[in-house]
Amino acid sequence: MLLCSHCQKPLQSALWCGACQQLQSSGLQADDFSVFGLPPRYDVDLNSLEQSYHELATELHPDFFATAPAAERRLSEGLSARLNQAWQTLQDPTARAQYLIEVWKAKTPTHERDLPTGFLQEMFALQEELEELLEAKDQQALATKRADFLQRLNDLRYNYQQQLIELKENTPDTTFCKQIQQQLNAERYLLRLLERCSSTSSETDL
Amino acid sequence: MAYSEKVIDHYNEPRNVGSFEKSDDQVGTGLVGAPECGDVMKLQIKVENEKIVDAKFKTFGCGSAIASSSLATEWVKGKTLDEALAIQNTEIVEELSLPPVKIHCSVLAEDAIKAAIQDYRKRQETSSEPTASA
Repeated sequence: MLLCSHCQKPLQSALWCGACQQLQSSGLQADDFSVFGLPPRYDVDLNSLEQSYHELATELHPDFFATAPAAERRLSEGLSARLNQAWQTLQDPTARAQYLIEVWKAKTPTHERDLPTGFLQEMFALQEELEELLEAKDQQALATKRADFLQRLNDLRYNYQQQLIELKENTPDTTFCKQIQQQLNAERYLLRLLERCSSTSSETDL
Repeated sequence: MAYSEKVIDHYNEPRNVGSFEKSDDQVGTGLVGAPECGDVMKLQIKVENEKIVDAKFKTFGCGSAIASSSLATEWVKGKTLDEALAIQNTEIVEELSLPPVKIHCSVLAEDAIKAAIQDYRKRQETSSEPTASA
């Protein structure tokens, strides 16, 4: 349990004390979950997260520190930035999963480029298939592919989200981390395929 | 963001696009991917007497990944396997003036060269021992 550096009362958020209204300089190094006073687990109540975010954003807002000493003003800016970053990560289901993996990785080393066996070969084959369809401008076949990929992406996301939710607050083992990381990696390849299905031209980002 | 003329040149006119027969004993195939962005790259070498006589690639990815692999095929041609193994991604970064966010594309190309050579050597081992039970 984190305590306020001024009044020593328990903190709800690592950034700010609700009891004595003081900014917490240690909050600059707080992890994304502590920013909202949450335990490090995947299932997050997005409504209450958003509410906490808005409340904290108001309390920490640099506008309210315009007349405060320079150090305190800078601290409110730093903590606001920390808050925004933590919010961006935790409100996004994929970013939240990746963040949890990063936290665990510090404890259990994982290979971050791992993919399920044969996955890369399959992705390459699918890209080649897609290339032919794009060249032939076969819109119907492309729409079918797109629907397939979308279904696969949704299944993949559902699968790792369930695994993460079931984990609750336990620290996972290496095998679990590897499984989640593999799925997060696979997600990006699938997103890439989807992107290509939707592109009507062969333009590529340099 | 401005890209170097060399990237644009390789992107518009990629060298050595295509593929060799994967099962050919003279061929080594490297297939690699970048989980950061979902790019996939296949690089193949054709080897005679420990020397790379030809190379082909096919890359599904951004222009920098295409340019990196295109350049890699140009560079490995005429090199011995050991010389090709010594190619560093930093040389590709320098040649193409890749921006920091695109450095992983050059890493991918280096990995692809190494994977192709490794695949070739593995095939040589297995084909020279027909009774091997690996």
